[in-house]
Amino acid sequence: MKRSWKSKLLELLVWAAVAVGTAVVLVMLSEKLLPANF
Amino acid sequence: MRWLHVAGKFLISVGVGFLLFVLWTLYGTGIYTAQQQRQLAEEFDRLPAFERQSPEGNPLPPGPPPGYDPAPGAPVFRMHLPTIEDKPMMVVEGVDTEELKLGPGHYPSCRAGFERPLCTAWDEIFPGEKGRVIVSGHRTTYGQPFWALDEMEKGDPIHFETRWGDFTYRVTDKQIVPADSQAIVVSSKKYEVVLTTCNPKYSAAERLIVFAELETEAAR
Repeated sequence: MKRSWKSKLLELLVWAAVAVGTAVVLVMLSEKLLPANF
Repeated sequence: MRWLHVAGKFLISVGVGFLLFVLWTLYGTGIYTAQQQRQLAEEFDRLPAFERQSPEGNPLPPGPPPGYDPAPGAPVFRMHLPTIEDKPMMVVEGVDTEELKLGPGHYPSCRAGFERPLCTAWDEIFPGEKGRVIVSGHRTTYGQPFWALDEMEKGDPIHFETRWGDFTYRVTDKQIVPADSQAIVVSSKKYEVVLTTCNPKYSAAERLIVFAELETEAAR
């Protein structure tokens, strides 16, 4: 079954959100775990 | 096998997330700090010079006027390490995470806006005053102001531009202490400056400390 471009774009956005979410969680963790002057 | 397909895409996305994190940490934070430093420099340059004489005409000791209590993140003085940095940096009040994102931080006394252990129980010391001025800065991120602090040697100058005068200190010693050491946060009878950052580069295992003593001062 061939998927529509809208469906593909939606999937891409979901994976982009996962990537950005991962980066945000890592930034927050690094600020909590590392000393202030790292 | 659809689940394998989804799991593969998920892992690739998480990997891209790690890459974004590294890019932000190494480059994005530096861009943020550079922007903040420009604003802080403009703010600092607009501040008037403090009087060096009492209303009776008597010279006042070097230092800010009584009651000078800058807010967290406010620019307090300009610092230049010509041996390792091309440009001077604005030093802000406070050494907590949020303040050090703006630039190197001046260790404050414990008062509104500053909480233990990142403040001193005694009056904070500013450049030119008798006692220990403590400045903390990032080594790896947020503009890496102390990236090359380990390259400073005995005799190297440290210049301070303040609203009450310009001061030059000379490096006297360099030490590496455990990361949790609070040994440098003590009062002192010398006219000295202590610079502190994480050590080694890309690690927070230890802390690098550079000591310097006052050499000259010039009124503004």
